[in-house]
Amino acid sequence: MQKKVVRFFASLKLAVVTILALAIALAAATFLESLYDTPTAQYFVYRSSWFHALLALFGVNIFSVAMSRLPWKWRHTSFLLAHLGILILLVGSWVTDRYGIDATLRISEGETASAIEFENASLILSEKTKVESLPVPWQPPSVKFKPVSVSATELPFRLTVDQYLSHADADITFVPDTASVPIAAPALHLKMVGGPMGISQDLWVWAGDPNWAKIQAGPSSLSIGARPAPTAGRPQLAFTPQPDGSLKYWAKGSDEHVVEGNLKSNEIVGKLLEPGWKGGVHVTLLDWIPHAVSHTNYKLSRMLYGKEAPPSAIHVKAVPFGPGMESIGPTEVWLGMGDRATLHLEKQEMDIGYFPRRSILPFSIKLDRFSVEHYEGTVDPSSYASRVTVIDQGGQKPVTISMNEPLDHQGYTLYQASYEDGQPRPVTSIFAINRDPGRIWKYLGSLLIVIGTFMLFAMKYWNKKKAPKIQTKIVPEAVRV
Amino acid sequence: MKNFLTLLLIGLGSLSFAAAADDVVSHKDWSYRELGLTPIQSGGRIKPLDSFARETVLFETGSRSFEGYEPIELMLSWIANPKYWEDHAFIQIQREDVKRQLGFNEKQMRFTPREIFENFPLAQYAESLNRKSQGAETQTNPVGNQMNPRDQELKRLLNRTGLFKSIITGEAWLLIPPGGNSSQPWLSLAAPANTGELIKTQFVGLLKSYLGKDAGEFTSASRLVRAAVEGEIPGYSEKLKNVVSSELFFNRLHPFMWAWILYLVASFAFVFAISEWGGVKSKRLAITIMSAGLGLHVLGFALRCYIAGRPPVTNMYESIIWVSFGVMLFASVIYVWTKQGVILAVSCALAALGLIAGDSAPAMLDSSIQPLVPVLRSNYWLTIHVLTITLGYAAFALTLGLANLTLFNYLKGSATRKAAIMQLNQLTYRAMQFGVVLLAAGTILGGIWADYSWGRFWGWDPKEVWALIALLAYVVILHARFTNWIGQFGFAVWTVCSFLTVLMAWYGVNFVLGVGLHSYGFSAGGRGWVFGFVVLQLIYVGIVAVKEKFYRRVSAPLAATS
Repeated sequence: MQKKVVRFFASLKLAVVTILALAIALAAATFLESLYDTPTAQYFVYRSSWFHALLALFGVNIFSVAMSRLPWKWRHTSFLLAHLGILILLVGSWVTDRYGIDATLRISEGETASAIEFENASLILSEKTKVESLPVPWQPPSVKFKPVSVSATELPFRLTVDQYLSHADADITFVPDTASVPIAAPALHLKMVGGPMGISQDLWVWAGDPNWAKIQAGPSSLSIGARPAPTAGRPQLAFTPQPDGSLKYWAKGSDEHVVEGNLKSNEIVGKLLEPGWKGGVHVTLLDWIPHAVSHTNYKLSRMLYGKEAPPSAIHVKAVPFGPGMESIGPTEVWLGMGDRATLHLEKQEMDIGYFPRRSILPFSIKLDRFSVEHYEGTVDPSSYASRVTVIDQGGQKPVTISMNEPLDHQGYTLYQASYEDGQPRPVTSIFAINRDPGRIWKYLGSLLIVIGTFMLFAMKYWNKKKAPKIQTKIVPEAVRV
Repeated sequence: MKNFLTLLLIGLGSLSFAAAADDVVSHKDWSYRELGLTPIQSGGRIKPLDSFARETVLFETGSRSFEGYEPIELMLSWIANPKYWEDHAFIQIQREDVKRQLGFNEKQMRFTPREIFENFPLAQYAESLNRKSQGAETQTNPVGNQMNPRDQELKRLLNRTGLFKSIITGEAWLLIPPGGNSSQPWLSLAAPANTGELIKTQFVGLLKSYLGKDAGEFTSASRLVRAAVEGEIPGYSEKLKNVVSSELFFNRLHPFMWAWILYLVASFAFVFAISEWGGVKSKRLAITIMSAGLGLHVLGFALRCYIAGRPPVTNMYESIIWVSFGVMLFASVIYVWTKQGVILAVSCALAALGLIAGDSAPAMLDSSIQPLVPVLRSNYWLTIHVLTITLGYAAFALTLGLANLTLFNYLKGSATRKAAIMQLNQLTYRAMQFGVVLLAAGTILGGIWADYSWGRFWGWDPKEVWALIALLAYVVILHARFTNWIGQFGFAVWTVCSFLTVLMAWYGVNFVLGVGLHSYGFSAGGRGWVFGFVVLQLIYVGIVAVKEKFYRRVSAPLAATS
């Protein structure tokens, strides 16, 4: 029985079947990557458990083959080198996968940084005394999300990530402030209809944030707050809330003609304004919230694949449990990548955030200068480099990191990966940070594979007595038509 | 711009303007060598004007030469006789749907600049493109939005007309070196006054002499232009001068064309030498012809290395040249070893096919020498890993040729050709051994390079994945042959089929899949040809397989009874 099992695992049939299965899986993965994108191919193949199992089976198969030749003789050398080489390479890859670090570090000129970011995202909870992190692995939009929870919080609440969007667009609206937060400010919801293109547009203006207080809609600009200075030749519409609760409006067309008035607080909603712009544009005021805060919802983006697709978002729900908590309803919030929120739970607070997983390097890096060189007379970059200072207990050391010229420090390697474009010149450099304990194994395995394969083919011709006969007789019919 | 044009008009005005719309002066028998040697800045490097003219003419007309003009004369004629050329059909449009969209005759190959300038749908398209590019100012990464092939052709057409316009206004002639700082872009003939006055004046003199009748005068005017440009390049060394003149030599020699002609002849010579009529003398002759071809092949390759300052292995065209060389290399090694001329017959035919493919699709396989993207620059491991992997492809190409010949022998009757099949089988096996070792080593070297330059030994990038798939396919064949799972026939069939994985790794990842880190090699085109080859190859294998199986089944009982 035991022999049978060994023979099965050492069989060439199993080897051929495994190799063919690997080849087919790999081919399928490249097509997946071409049709969708890299994370999709990684999710379904390269990082899937079945693929890892297939690789493990391949390893077991090779190991058994090597063992089946026991006791080893000299003539087995090349065979063993090639096959053990593959095994060592597989082990090295596993070590890298399990214990290696592959992250990115982004620094702008003048900044010092030591926090590296990983590809995976996690939900971070910070309570009074502890900080906890719940990994939320990426998954493609076509796969149903399985909710994940943390219950070991200090408060009697169970935190659940119950919805996941692989690529999310933020959908921002404004709601009346209920917690009297200081950021609460007037918000106005309006609808613009008409214009030369006959467009109907739904818009919010909100005085709580400069990006929301003044917005551009086609050629015209809309604002809330203090009336802006008139811009010649541009249509403008400005709303100025008054202390008595009324709302002043002021509109100017591209012909500099001005329309203005004051709306009492009960006249605002439903009011139709005609600012006298080209194309007979009219504006309807849909909603007016004197004390509004922003509220972000996320919805699945229309762009689901490729580098342009937006990052993921999660929906977190805090459900109370335990005695006496029945009457309290759940609290929920959407978090996009990089968002934070404060949950008000039972008179206490809990800060949560959704970030790429982070880690701190044992040293820090200061970017002194980032530079790009171009091919003569073109805008195509020929090379780019970062001049940095490495700071640790030992002191400071200036180094230049460029393409193909990485920096090795304390077991980590920093590579110049890319940069963020900027005007008048890019000043933010992006490094890849790496630590690879499996490297030595992979190199050793590779070396053995190449030497072994070469010897497998060459050894046959060394020993002249045993060498296969080389045919030198010319066979004319080989090319006879 | 106005400046140069006025200068031009004043200069040419004294002549009776020869370019009455239906007639044009041409001097196809004059020498353009001297003018061709003039350095010009284009595509991120300094090159001879001759190369610039060749690239321009190829881009505009879609072929290497047009109406018998040497490219450089054609460009000169454009600027000297703009009126004539505006109404002369020479700008190519490749896609029929584009011609239809623009309301042109679909059967016509080339169109006049005027037709295209005045085409309303094209103007509208240009306008929409313009608007789009303004709207997308914030977008930094253009990789995500690939254009469809029709839009690409429309855009290329706009570029063609734009380039022609800038040639007749002088803007495309970047002949005026910057003063002092050598890293600054060169200026064109249309540059504002007080820059490069000497060069401009000499150039106008050149155009005058071109419109004249004296070949000697034209040559001396060419010499003046060249001297004026060379004189203003800061730090123009002998070495740079040599590089520019080698490039002209390379352009005019067409080494790869002569190489394939010689290979083709050598291939037939080998077939003759192996046959019953052949002998030692015919074999020697075949080897001589082949060696001449190989010599030119190597010379061309070496010249390209010298001109580009790097090994030419970064695009499809360059890798086809290198792989063809690899095929000849392995065949020669195996020939020295086994003395089987048949392998040279096969390799010469393969190398000729490779070089013909490289030569015959200039619009698809870009043969111009381009600068490298940052990640590929000055790296020893890069060169080694690409050269090793593509040498592996070369060995597999050789197995493909040999296995196809084996299948041909099966088609002609396996019973009478046992010795030939056995011989071919062994040769295929040897070539495959070279291929497996090199592909394994090259893939691993690629890992070492990736580890060295961005810290990832293996990242499941499609290019490396397909190299691995190809390696796995050949490893399966070798194991199956070793344990006699497949006989000689199966070996030949699977060898042919496995080459499809090489084709995918070599061509498919860049031209069909178009994703991954090896994006600097991406391109489009030729899918029809490659797909056609794959289909023909599979049909051939199918026919031989059906015949072989049928033959065996019928002949086996007969053999038993006899």
